[in-house]
Amino acid sequence: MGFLETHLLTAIVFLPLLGAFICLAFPRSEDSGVRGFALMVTLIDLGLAIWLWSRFSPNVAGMQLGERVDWIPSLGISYAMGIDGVAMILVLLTAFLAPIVVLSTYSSVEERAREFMVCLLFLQTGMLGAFVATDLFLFYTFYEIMLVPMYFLIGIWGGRRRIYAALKFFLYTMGGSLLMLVAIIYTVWAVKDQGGLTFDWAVVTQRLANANLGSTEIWLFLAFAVAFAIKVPMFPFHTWLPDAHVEAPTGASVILAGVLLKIGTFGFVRYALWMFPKAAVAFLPTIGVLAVIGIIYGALVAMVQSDLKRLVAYSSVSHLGFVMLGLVSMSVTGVAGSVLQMVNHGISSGALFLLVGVIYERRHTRALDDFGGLAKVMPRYAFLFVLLALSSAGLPGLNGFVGEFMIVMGSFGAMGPTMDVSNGELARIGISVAGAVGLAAVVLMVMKVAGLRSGMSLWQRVGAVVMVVLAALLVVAPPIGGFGGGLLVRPLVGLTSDNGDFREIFALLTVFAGTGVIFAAVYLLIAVQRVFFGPIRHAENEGLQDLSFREQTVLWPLAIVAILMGLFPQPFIDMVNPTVDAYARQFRARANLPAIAMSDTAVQQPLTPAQRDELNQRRRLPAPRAHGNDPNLRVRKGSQE
Amino acid sequence: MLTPKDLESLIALIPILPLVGAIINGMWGHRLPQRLVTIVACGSVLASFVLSAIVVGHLAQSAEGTRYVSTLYTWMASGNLNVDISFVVDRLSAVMILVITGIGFLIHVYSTGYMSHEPAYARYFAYLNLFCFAMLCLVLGSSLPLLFLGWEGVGLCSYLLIGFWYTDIEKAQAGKKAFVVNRIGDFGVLIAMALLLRTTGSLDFETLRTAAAGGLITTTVATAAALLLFLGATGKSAQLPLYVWLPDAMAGPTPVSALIHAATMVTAGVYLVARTGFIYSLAPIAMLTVAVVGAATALFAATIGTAQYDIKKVLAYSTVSQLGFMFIAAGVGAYAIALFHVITHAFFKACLFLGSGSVIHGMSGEQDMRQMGGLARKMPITFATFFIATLAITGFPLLSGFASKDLILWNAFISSEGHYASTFHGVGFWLWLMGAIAAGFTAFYMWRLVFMTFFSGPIRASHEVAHHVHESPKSMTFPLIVLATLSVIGGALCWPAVLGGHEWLAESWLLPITGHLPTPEGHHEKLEWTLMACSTGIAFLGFAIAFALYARRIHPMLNRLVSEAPFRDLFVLVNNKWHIDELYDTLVVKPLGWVSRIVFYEGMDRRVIDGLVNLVGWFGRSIGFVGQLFQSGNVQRYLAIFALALALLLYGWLSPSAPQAEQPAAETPTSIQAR
Repeated sequence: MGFLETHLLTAIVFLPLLGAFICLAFPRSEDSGVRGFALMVTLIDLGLAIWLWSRFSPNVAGMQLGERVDWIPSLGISYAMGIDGVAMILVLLTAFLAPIVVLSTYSSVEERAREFMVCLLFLQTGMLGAFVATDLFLFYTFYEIMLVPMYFLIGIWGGRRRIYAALKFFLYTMGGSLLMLVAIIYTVWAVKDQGGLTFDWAVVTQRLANANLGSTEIWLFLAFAVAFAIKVPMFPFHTWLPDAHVEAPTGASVILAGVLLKIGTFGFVRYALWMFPKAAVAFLPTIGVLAVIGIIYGALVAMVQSDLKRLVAYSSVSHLGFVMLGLVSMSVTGVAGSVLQMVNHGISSGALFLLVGVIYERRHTRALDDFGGLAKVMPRYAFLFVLLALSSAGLPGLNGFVGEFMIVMGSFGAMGPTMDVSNGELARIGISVAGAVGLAAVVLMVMKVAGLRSGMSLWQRVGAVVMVVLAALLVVAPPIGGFGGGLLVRPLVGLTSDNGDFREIFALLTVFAGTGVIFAAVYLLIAVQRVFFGPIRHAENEGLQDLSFREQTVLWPLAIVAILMGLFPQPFIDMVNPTVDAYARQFRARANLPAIAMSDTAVQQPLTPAQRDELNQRRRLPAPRAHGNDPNLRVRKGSQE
Repeated sequence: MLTPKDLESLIALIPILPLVGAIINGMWGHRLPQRLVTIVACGSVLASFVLSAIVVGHLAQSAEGTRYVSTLYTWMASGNLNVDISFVVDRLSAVMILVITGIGFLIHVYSTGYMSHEPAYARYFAYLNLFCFAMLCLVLGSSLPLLFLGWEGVGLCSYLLIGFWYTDIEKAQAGKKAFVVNRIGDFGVLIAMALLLRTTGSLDFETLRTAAAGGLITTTVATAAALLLFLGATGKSAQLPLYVWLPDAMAGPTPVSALIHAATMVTAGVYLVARTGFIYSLAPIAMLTVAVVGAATALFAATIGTAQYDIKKVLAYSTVSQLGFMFIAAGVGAYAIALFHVITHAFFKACLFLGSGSVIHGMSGEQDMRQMGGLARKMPITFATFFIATLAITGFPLLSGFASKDLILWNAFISSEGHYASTFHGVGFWLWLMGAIAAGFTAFYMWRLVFMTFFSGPIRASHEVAHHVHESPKSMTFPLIVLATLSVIGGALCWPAVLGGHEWLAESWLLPITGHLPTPEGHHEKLEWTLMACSTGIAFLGFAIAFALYARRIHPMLNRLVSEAPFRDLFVLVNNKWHIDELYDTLVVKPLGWVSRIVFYEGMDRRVIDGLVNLVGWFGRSIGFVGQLFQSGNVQRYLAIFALALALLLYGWLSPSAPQAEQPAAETPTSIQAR
């Protein structure tokens, strides 16, 4: 037991791989045996993860439960693993989803079940390894390894256009990660004069803080950022996702949405942003703008999908926009909310993909028009679908709300960067690039509107033009003449100046992001209505079976976790808080951001009546800025001016 | 006498009991006998009511500023965000929980009769109990996030209950519309919370109040926060421009309309404004906005009510209009008066809705008033209670509606010389006038409804329906009688001073929370009497016109008028609700869908972005295609390429310039030139 205890991370990561090899030994005909075995392996892995959780001390900010063995000593590469709060919660998510996915494939995968399980278990090792690796080379190895089984899962068990989708997924992600490989090697080499070659994440990060790489750091950051932005996926790198989801088998979709995308957001926290704060700070506004475009754009596109699975896929783009916004806000609340939202999205979207799979198996279609009135014949299914759709839409009391709420609260209060002009220019260029994509959209819009499509009344056209103008104001206007030039932006908040002052940008972005909650309700309720309500219009739907016992076993754990994390999120927040706090503070310190997010300074606890009286008394004192020294209620200068 | 500790543990039970009821009926209700479902559903709300009464009873005997706080656990805490699950009973929430659980219980009882033949009986009561839970969370929550939990929770229950008969696609759509429109308002509340958290570092009501009193919230921030919160209120409380969901919400079962869409949920916006009154007091511009929107809604919705034929639609527009009255009061700073109208409105409007439900029940589901008529004799109890509630809503002297409406109009009128005179300068009279005219319309459409339904000759429905008309069972008439009684005596809660009352609710019970609204100097009694006479006169005029046109039968003059050009067009326009739905549809819904589909999805996503991606792919493949020429598997071709390459190499090796090429690059140009 002692050995296992000290090598728990290794055990968790490589148990699925061991399982995969044993699966290969099963005879081809033993489908149920291999499924049972895979289920057992993933359940044991979950057990180990829970054990890990029990040994994890949430009050420690740094890496813990680490392991280290030299791997390629001549290059400074070691087999190093460790876990912090962010990795811990994602390991739990991964381990939790695995048995659910295995169980869900009992009916959805009929051919080559053995190979499917091998891929799934192999993938599991890759994902878990990527979360716990603390050596850059080891991380990259796991990061790349994941692509292979996912490629096969989509390419072999996928739908009609599976080859296209699998290739697109593979090449797109591969392209990004090659950039990252170059950046990793360059970084390690660039800082090796500070005591020899090493790929150790903590050491390299520390060295980077001392090193002065100048503008090279910006390129290094961009290489990491683009690799992860593709993985997340952030607008405009997202188009591989809907294709991959639509073609992937249910189980692969769940893993893809539930865990794989989180490696992108996790990569932003752990690598791109944490390692290169000095360079990253110039791009925070850009990433923020792209995140918000992703939120609104993803939701609007989801709204008009006729394929249920594609709808859920686009909703991921929207939700991960929220995650990215929180991450770059660099406020403790916002980042903690983002990490929580990664898990929430894994639960809700994972569950929605499973639910889509359920009717796909029954009807072999996912078109919304082929359904309607299912609530009558499948009441249990309808209940779970509505519950998890609401959790995805961020209904308070369910998990989705907690993350979104924390992100909105945190990023609205966060102070953005004030950069010297060169950095400000860079950021402006970044925003302009984002704007150029937006401009293309607007040009297209104007062309389409002006194209006088038949069937549009005059007023509808007027409405469309109004939308175009609004979108132009939102997306395009800001880059013209610097960020502060936006027609809507400037008078609305009067925040940004032309000399790189982005202090208030997150407040502004949050307001736009907030509209995402409206659109989320729209597309999810449209889906719910078209699938479940109204009369049954197709005779094939009349005899549909409600959820089987096995399907309920698959779905109920997700539903229960959605409710628990909605009502009692604090244990999970506590798990990530110290890590996130260190991350945000270190970033701000190294990037010369205002010391702390605006919101982090103010009251920590509701006041007691005695304190309140005291406070009131103090307020009446004529002393100027008396509250400036007040430990309970303190406001940054900025908000008063 | 219970200790505060005991009370605090009881407080948590007030919302939790209905939640337990909802879970039991929701999970296992379809297997339980109907009787047991009834007991669980009504019992949990009744227990909640009794607990509320006990707690409020103790509160009444305690010192003025007493608050019972029951903190259960930390919901979320990270950075500066710190939200507890914590319930507070103070004098404001005390009023609300009594209304919610009291009227909630009556409507549960009514529902046992109204829904007795419904196959999804348990599901209905699960939703209804869940609603009570969410509504109680809304008013008991000690902080804005917890209020928001209830706020969205009631929205969800509203969605589920409007679309209760989901096989009818129109009903499902009405539910969706309600949820989405409410979400627009919720967006405002969300951003307001972010703004307040950023400014004060807390979302707890008491801390916010302290911060506001301490000058931490500047006028700018207060105005922004107040307007954002009011956006939420216009959604939930169906004010202009977001009122459009409420009339459609009548698709739900009638008791739901009474409980959610008349008595409780829709007043949540008023509660929110009253609860955060300390922010509004810092932002007179926001107050003016509230009052003007309220007055405009009151008048606008009342006009639509005059031309509807669906009995529930009339009541729905009436509700929108009455909510407008509440916002007039809230806007001029008379929060207690707004709450007084919340209470009286809950009594008479719940009575009216339940009465209409009783009529619909008797008419075998018919809602069109043109099919009704002469029901007074066939449904005596329904008629009597409906009649009393109509007297109350139209402001018949001495009834509850009279008292609350009069106080609202009076406060609106004197706002131009009161505490916020500089902002409301010259506005007070117009607020009053709009309110008074709206009251006139109210009288007209309510009496029109009564005459068309209960009088005006024999029933106009088919023989089969007519034969079946009956008085409703006791479970339905009992709540009607209770509510009608309350509609009569409810005014005593805050009887106007000018009529010899003490305005107890405003001047003593809610005083510690809403504060005293300083009235302008001087004697206004004569003015107050005059205004009262005027508004009552206008209301009587509305009655008189309705009497003339509808009392005995639908007046032939009306038919003639309706068929003549200018009046007919106006009538059709009003009957079509001024075409606001179509306007929104054309200006927002359709273009948004079109832009999303054609421009964003098909254009941007499929063509531009994916086009670029595929272009990169195509580029790669093109290179591959060229490379492919060298990979044909044809040995002769390989040999040919091999020979060609060898020849090139040899040429490079043997040619005289080759050694020179190895010279340093900088010299190459000169050497070439030299040659």
